[in-house]
Amino acid sequence: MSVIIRKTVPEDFEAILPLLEKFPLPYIKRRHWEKLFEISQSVPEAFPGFIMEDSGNAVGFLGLIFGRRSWNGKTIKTVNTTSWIVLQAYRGRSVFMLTKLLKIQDAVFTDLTPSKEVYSLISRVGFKEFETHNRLFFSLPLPVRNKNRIERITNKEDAQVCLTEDQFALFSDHQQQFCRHLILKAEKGNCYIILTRMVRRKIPFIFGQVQYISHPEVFRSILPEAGGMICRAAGVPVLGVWERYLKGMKIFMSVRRPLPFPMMYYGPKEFENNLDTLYSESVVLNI
Amino acid sequence: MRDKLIDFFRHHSSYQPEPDENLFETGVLDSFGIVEFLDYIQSEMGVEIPVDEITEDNFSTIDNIIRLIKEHC
Repeated sequence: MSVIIRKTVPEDFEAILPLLEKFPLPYIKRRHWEKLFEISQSVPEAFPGFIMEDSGNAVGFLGLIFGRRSWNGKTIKTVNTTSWIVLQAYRGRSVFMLTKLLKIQDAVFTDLTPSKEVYSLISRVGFKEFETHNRLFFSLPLPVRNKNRIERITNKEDAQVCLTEDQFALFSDHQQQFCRHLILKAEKGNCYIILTRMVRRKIPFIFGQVQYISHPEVFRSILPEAGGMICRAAGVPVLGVWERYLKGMKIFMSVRRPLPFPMMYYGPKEFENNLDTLYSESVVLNI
Repeated sequence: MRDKLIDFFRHHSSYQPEPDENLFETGVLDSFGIVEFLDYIQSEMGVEIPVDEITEDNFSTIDNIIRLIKEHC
């Protein structure tokens, strides 16, 4: 047995695909998985993940989605782990994929959808929880206060006018057809929101999930009507907002749902409040 | 130190490995086992292994682990 772990390159896709197809996600097709191997142009050192090989055969994969963000005046890499799979006979070595990952310098690492086993392992190496619940809002016809408006951004020209440089980079990186870009205009100021529209199994309608809120305090200032406004602007009857954006607010006619396992991060605590789900499988695979 | 480590692994896996036996091939050590083992040597010996050095080579045998621990004592 000669087992090695190395960085993957896009050409490894064909070797890794049979492993990815072992996930119980029948609605994720080859063309979706291929997106994990498209390298982010905004992070020059990005790569698709780590592969574990035994005598040249792929026996494990840890997918990585890179982003570059400016938080608290510092520019850092975000590295989200995804689609971690290791064949049973090699699981004893899984931790070495994790330790390879943690050697990446100047980065904050996240795992947004850990399985029970992964949650247990990454907790033990020092990952911390940063989100445990999603809050669901519904497209209710609540009265909207006069000065509050919402606008959808659909083209780069408008985006350049109303977004900051950092926000424009997020806009450019999220041009998939299922992404929606909205500007919420309130008395307290403006707030840029990115959400994805997704079809969930067993849910007979399109579901919206907020992935990023530039100014959560502005968003919170016009709750509960902001929920319905965003639903209507994005064309979704139900909208999920991670609870961290709500700071414990009790919100009329909304539902709090626990995640199967908490979202986890590893890195300086000073960035915990800045973490979002923009560079993740939730957006890349639209799941 | 060797006896202490052999005791740890025997307790962890109900198998007494030889000092030069591969701990992964014999199933004595797995991913959770390594994390437990790192906790153990930190609390019992005050040794902290940097993440850079948590590699399969360094943890493949008891002899290699002893060498690694001595480097960090």
